[in-house]
Amino acid sequence: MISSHLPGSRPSTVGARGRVLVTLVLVGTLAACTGGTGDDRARDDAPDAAATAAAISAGVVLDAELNQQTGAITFPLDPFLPTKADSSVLDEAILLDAAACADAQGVRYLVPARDVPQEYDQDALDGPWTIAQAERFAFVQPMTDADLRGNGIVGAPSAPPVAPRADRTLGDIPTDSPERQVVDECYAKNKKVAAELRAAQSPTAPWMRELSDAATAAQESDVADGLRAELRACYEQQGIAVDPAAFDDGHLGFTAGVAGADPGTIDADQIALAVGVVRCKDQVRYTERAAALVAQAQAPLIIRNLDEMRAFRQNLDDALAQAQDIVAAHADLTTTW
Amino acid sequence: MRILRRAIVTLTVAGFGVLAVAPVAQAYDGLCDSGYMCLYTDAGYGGTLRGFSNSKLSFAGGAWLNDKTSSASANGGSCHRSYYINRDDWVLNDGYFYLNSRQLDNMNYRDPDLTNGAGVGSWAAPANANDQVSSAQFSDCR
Repeated sequence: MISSHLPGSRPSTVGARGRVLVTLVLVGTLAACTGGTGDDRARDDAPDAAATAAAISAGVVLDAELNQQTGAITFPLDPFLPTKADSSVLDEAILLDAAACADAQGVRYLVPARDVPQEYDQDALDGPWTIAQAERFAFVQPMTDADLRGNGIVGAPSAPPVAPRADRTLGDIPTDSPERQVVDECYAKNKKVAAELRAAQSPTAPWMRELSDAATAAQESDVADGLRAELRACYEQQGIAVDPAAFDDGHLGFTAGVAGADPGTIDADQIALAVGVVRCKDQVRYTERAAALVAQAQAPLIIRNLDEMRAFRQNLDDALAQAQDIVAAHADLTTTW
Repeated sequence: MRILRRAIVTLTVAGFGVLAVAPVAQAYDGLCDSGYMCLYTDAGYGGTLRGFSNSKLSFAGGAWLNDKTSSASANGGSCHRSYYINRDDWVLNDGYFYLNSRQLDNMNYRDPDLTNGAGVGSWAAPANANDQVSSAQFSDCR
């Protein structure tokens, strides 16, 4: 039961309406976390209760949050990672830094200033989890219409008429042209800044691996198996064809364990199937309970690695501030997406 | 080292439409054709090339490039980012990196050696992304 989102792909503040906070009882729950074998190991791995309480007091959220309005699922790990919007700002700063250098040498082009579509805030967890998601995406990972077309999704909405664009962007400069050579040299000059901004949004520390492994362990737990069995029972009751292999593997993925579900197609049949899945998920409270298992697995690791994770977040925030300064300084070189 | 394919071959991947294997202009330069994301079985953009355009690619089901990628490059025509992902179902909560489009962004568009990390993401340097890519997709498309 793993969510589809880019780590941190949601805004740092979530709207109050439609939010479900999946609250865990931390004392005792953390001491019995999954990921280990035997009660002794679980107790040895359990973080200090005082450290946990202190983290919570300081604003660390150790629960999963579900937002029906936006389709977002926020796990405890997510606030430490860059959102899609953060990532876009960091990329844009690198692009503008080079564009300014090229402009100073007489090669002028503009950089698209990217807004971050709300589709990137949506998450799926073993397939769609809201009716709105099912009706728009069926079993396809939530993404923009343009991304649906870019990935060849069958049934993607057609592209709107494209207004001719007067601005010149980098894509308009042939890659084998002398002007492109100037641009290449500018990118070579700003390598250090670019490397710093890229590294700031790349969580490569061991804790990222540990948290990923913990989420996988949550997926493979007996509790998760039981939850999937409840979902399967609902499918069978509702006449939804089950993919037995997906349930046997303990890995439902985007197709939610449904036979005939297609993560590459959006059509009426797929939508109807996806809506049926969401109704069963609602019936057994699948998404809240599955998200709680992941949060429960993440929580002790976050407490244990909190200092390093906070340092990563601080470095990311510093990089964002630097990037925003660069973007502001070169606003004249931006154009619309 | 296997010979690079030169002809355009159209293949059908079940459920995901058509994908085309594109030729490259030069061997080993990591300059992926316009509109494609590329994966290579060897480091240094060598070995067998597989290029994808307009297909939400998954290597699951025993496809011959699954867990065999040692270098990568990206050149989306309308998509700024190409994601290379550990899981076979495009879920990004495990290892992943993205490359930007060479023609659209001119940065972070290729990596010759995935053993020491690649691009941006949890598989960035110094992580080891070699022989682990199992799915890929475009993002930030216009």
